[in-house]
Amino acid sequence: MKVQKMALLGVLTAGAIVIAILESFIPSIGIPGVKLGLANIIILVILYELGILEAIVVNLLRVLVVGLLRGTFLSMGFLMSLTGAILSLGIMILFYLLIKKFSIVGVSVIGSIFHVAGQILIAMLFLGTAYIFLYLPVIALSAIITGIFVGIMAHLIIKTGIIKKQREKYNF
Amino acid sequence: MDKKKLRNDIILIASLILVAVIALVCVLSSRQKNNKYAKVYFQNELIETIDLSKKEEKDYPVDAFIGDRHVEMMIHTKDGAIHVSKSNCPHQDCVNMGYVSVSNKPIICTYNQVYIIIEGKANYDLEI
Repeated sequence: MKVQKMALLGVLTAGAIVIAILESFIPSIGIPGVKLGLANIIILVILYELGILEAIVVNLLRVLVVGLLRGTFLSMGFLMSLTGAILSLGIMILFYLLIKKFSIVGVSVIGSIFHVAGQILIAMLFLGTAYIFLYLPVIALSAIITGIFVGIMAHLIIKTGIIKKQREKYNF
Repeated sequence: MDKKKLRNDIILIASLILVAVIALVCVLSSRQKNNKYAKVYFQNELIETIDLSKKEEKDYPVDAFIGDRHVEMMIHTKDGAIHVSKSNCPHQDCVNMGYVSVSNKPIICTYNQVYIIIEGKANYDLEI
């Protein structure tokens, strides 16, 4: 891997971590730990511009570092973010690769929904009650709205060509 | 963004919103006909299950013994709420709780070792 690419990925990872930590100051709706997933902007940009493997690595690193920084490592909240991140990136890669019928906004919305679904799944397992599932419709609606927002943001960032320029300049 | 993808996006998002709204309506409608139950425990044993969704006014006496000591309580329900109207405990905290209709507010009488918990599908209050 080229040094320039490594540096770029490092900067993007740092950006994702900062966004995730800033976002953690916003109080969650209803269930503790359910977040908007604004860090997904960065992950989407990496997925579209730099590749799938890079997106997976940055996403997992983000969850790990945010968990360590916030002191929630291996707690319920951490496992919720981890499951949400894995599920959402998984479905986004699936939609991005196999079903090339949706734009970045559609991919973002589906990822956002799977993010909250994964979080609720872990909350259900931890609290041993299925009642939390009743929150899913409300949270899914908010996830759709933030998903659209995240998708548009990622689209705008890609449109500026800032990463493409780097890629062409340093040939990675 | 080309138009076909945009159209697909709109279809996807609209159908997702539709599913979420339908699910939300189902959840909210199940909340209206909620089936609340008050469970009365004595010495950690369930002695009575009271259906609160009927909203009837009724008295449920508790008559038991802890060793030689007599436990005498009267539990009263009204409008889907439950209340200890009479108790032979010294502090009368359970009586002073008044009418309770939410699940995160149990009525506990430590002296008589009686506690009342409201359980119900839609009345689940999550607190961590």
